[in-house]
Amino acid sequence: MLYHSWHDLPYTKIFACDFEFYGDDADLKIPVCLAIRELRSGKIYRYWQDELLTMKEAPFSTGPEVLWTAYYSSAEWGIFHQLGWKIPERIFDCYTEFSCETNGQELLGGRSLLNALDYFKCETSLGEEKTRMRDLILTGGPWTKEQQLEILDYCQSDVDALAQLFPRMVKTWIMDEQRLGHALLRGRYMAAVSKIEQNGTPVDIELLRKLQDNWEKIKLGLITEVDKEYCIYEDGHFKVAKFENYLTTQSIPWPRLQSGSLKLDRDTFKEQQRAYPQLKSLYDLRVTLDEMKLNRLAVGKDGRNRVMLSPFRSKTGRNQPSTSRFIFGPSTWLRGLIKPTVGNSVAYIDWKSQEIAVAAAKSGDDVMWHAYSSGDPYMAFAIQSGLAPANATKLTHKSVRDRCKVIVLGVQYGMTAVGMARGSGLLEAEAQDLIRRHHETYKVFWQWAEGNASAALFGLPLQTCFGWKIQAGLGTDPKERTFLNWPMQANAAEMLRLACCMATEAGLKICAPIHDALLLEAPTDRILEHIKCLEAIMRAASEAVLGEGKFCGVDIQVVNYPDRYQDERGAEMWALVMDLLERC
Amino acid sequence: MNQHNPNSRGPNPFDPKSLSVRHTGGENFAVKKVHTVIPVRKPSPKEWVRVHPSEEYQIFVAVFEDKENGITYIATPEIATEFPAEFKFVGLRLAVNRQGSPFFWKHPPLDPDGRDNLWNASHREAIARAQSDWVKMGSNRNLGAYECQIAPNLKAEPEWPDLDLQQLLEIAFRGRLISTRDHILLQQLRGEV
Repeated sequence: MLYHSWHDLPYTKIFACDFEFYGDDADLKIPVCLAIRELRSGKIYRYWQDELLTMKEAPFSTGPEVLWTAYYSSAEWGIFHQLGWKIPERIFDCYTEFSCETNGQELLGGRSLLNALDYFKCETSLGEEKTRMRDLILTGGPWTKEQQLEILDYCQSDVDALAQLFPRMVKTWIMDEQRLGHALLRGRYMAAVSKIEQNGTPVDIELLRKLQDNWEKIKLGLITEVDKEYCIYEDGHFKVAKFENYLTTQSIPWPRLQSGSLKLDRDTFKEQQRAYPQLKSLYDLRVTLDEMKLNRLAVGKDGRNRVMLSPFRSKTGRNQPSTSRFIFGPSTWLRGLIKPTVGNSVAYIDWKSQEIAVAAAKSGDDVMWHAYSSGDPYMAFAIQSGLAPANATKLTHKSVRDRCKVIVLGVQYGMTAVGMARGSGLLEAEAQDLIRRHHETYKVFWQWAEGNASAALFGLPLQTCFGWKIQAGLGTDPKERTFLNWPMQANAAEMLRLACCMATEAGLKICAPIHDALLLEAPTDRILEHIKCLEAIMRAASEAVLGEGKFCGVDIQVVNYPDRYQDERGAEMWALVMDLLERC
Repeated sequence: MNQHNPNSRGPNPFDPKSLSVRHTGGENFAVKKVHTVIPVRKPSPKEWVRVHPSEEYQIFVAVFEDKENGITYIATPEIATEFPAEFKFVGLRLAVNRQGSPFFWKHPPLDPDGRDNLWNASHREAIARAQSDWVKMGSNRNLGAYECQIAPNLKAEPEWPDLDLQQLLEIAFRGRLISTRDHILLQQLRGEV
């Protein structure tokens, strides 16, 4: 079915909607008003707060015969959840579609509604009063009659803008049923996001407050403790000259900037501490001090960490929540604050080697798929490439396996031999040989991956199985490495999104999606039942992406109250912080 | 409802399998490697190489080696016959290394009078082995011959350029074909320039 304009869309009505709301950071939002514009008739409907709170259901049908549209609609569906309304079954989110079709372009101003309107040359007065109106709404009232009218007018201006934007978007991009279907699937995910954002992750708020109250002392204690090994800090500050001295005495080579100064960015430190494990504590300390601003962690009054998941924010379509506000940020030790409440449990469930599964399945490389299905793709690569005998195992050939793991994970990111060697302790020649073996063993995968990268560098679009796209924009400077890895990351993101949709719709309480994992919460006496359900959902989602008969296995970690979740990468730092807290 | 088809309900986002797209985008984007340089040489002692087994990729030619500049010229049979002192006959076999770079493996031909030496014999032996195995050839002065190592566990088959011998020779000897008496090289050799 082809669509020539929005008039051809198969819906009796099309509702553009927008809520205004307020609320503290990580707390649940309180609706102020709602504006709806039915696009076919042009009719406007406006509802103030007192009326909204009495409505048991949305004012119009949310069935499949009706389309709902909004801009960054997870906000709207969050209020739907708050009000106990059924979520629409057909959602067209103009933000997700604008992001999809412009992915790979550099857009000044990002992907705001204003920018989307500008992109389509829509006339609008939005923006002129935005700051003043936002501030007025955020006061939380009470508002005078005049102010209420102002707020309603402001709310309506968004749906008026959508009335211009939506038809132009559909005409330009939504040519057929399949394309519309992809948009609706992304809309479905925005509804899932709203539910997950509402759920949040349970945090030990009492411990968090203690850490916040004593953080300055803990920071100094951390520095004193960790610096015993390095002697780099002075009065709580990292001294570059002392660090240079340390590197010299330890004979550790270090990348430098063109100016000759040491490269001290996080990525460089991260790579170096992999090659030189004696740097790990220093790296953890720097991450903790630089990025961990405890007061920024978004925890509501009810002890839940809630953040905007920022869906479709990255080029691969993955979520990109704030690293300082999200409990699953880079300071892995902080995850020790995750603690289920009384009578409850959480389960961390992640797909096994998801990206390898995606690489093998999407490329059609049966040799790689065989490696994945063996359960240990790194050992399988070692055997397939002739580095280990057929009966080799993790126990009998550990060092070979470790070397192969570096390469198997690194090549998909387009890492060079130099990069892999530096990050793993391998010799460069060794890394080169392993990379070559990878190319020879998985010829079909490389032909597919390099074909995609070449096409993308040529300026052609790439897309996932559900239509998330990327296309290098004019004036951009695309890297081959980006496009080599994009299909794996982006299709893996599709898998996660689909699992989130199915899980939230099945009534499971998903606290957070984390790259290739989901955090599930349930009463302790039902956690196993919910895990089984989620496991089946994740399996089904993997088959939908990988293809019929292909599945991604999962690993499961369960935490029952009163235990807390622990990420093993942060265990050492957690123990140190707790010890320092004890002494405060 | 769709004014063209009032019964159409549109796509169902709760049935993702019906929305699945198989191709990523690069599947039909054919990229062909273009060889602009094909060296004429022996393999280096550190290099693992394979030789194309087909007779269609071997030839005997007359060459002049400008050792000072490291350039090998090829002459037509007529020129080689007219200036026998300047040219020597060598065999060329298409070979490829582990990096996938093709080259012509230059080797001495069999002496028509049956005279031979260990260097030439071991050289040809290495080429013969390289047709089926990855080999590394290095010289052993004590032995007075080339030594050949093979890598029996290396099963990967080489990728050969998609060109015929004529095309490969044109690339290898572009601008270095001597087909007339007036070629600058011959003039130099005759002391005319």
